Order: sequence, then structure tokens, then C-alpha cells
Amino acid sequence: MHPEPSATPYIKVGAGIEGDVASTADVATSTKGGSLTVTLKRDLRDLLDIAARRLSGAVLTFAAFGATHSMVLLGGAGDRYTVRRISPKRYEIELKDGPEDVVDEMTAAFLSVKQAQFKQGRLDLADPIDADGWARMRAASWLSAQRAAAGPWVGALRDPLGDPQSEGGAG
Amino acid sequence: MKLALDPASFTAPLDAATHEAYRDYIGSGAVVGGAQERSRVAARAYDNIRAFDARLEGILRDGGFDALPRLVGASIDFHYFRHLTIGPWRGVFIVHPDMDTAIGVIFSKEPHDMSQRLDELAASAMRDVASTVPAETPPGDRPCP
Repeated sequence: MHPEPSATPYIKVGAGIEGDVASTADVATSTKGGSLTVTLKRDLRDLLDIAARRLSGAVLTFAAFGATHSMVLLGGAGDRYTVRRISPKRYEIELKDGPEDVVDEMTAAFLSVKQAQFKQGRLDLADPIDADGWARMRAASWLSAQRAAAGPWVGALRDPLGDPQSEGGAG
Repeated sequence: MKLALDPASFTAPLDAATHEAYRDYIGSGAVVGGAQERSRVAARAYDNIRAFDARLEGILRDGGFDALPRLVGASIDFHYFRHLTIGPWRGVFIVHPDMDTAIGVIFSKEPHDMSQRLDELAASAMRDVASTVPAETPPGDRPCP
């Protein structure tokens, strides 16, 4: 969130980042001289493993509750990341060319079979679907999951997808 | 763009993952000990699979299969294989420039090592073998000698 303008150029922000992070800490900033200087203390700096003096920086923005929130990413200058916006309040950050993209031998064998079947036109495939077809298919899957989790009594509930067969009744 | 899914390797694991994510999400608070952490993990898996659904729907509506990251194999050229990975969930797609339909070949959960899916590989190989062998006439339909 954008900090309130302060009479003093020195701002200390509480650590409000949680989740799958290696460490989190308060970060002191200084706006003296018109630019923003950030001081990363040892808790964060030791985990960064960054030898270079220059880093790659980017700003992510989030839209929520009628306001725009932003945060800064800092990465090693030699590393490459891809950031994908998943929803107005959610991003995914991926290290490019890292080990996550490399498939293991078992997956490679599995994909080799699929690739061979694809080249020979022998892949067993369902009929192609568009975005609406995908949405309908997934809604049906979630509904099935809800019913399975709720137990047999939920069978009496009306099908929210409006399946005409279920509305017609058995009689 | 359209999407054609492999029922055994994509649709069935995706449906199973949906059931698992929903069941874990609903049931994560049922046991008191460690419920908070379990809830957090389950909520994340649930959110991630919802996000997977939304992202794939967006790609199908607006395009973008080409922009998905490629898969890298140690010794095999997977040039046309792309993946969409959100949290623990991964979908692998064949995206060929000459085709207007992407093919969803695999859906898996982290770790994506496929070691528990050898039965799919075996079933696939059996289908290949069966497709090359002429169908045998049922005993009842055979002509009398």
C-alpha cells in the first residue's frame, strides 16, 4: 500500500508480507534527495545471494477495494523471471530456465509416448472445446466434488447448472 | 483457440485433483491439531486450482498458449510442449503453430514425476498394441467346423 506522506524523509514499514517466503522483515527507506533508498538488513540481505551491485527491479500493482496497491520485486541482474497476473489480487512469479521447467526422466518417457502418438495421429482425445466449454466442464467437475464431499443427502438439492434431466424428476 | 483433452492423462487427473482440493479445503478444519496450517495449505491448493481454471479459460478466450513456458527435457526435444503451472498443479499442452487446437496431454500435481502414473503409460501402450492386432471373432460367432 502507498505509505502516507511523512514530514520526515525516513519511513519504517512493518513487515506485511507472509506466505511462502524465506524471510520477512521490516525495511527502512529514506527519501532524502528525491530518490528512494532501501536498507535491507542482514535478515534479508544474507538470503539474497546477490553479489552484483545492480539488481533487476519491477513494480507489481494490485487492485482491491477501489484502490491500487503496489509492491517492488528485486532480483539478481543475471536471473530471468516471468510474472503472470492471475487475478486482480494475485500474481505468479516463475524463474525462467530454472530447474522447474526441466522434466524428470519419468516424465520425459511419458511425454515421449504422447509425442509419438501425436505424430502418428493416435492420441486418444476428446472433442475440442472452447472457453465456454472449458468453463462448463470445470463447473460440472466442481459440482461433482461438492456433491461427493457433502454426501448422499445432497442429491436432493437442485442442480445449480440446471441439468434438465435432474429437474424433470423420476416420476 | 480450442483445446482437446486426453481423457485419461488430463481430464481424469484434473477431476481427481478437483475432488481432492475441495475435500481437503472443506475438511481441513475438522481436526483440531494442526488445523490452521492444514487449512492454509488446503486453501492454497484450492485457490491455485481455481486460478488454473480461470487462467486456462482466459487463454482459450484471448489466446496465449504460445506465451506459456516451454518444457525442457534433458535428451528429448519437447519443442511443442508448453506448461501452465500454478502452485502444485501443472497442465502440459502440445501447441503446434499449424494447429488451431491445443492438446492437453497431462495434468499432474507436484512433484510432477509421473512415477505413480505408470498404469496410464501401460494402458496407452496396450491401446497401441490392440490397434495393430485384428479383432478376434467371439467364440459364439465362429462358424462350425
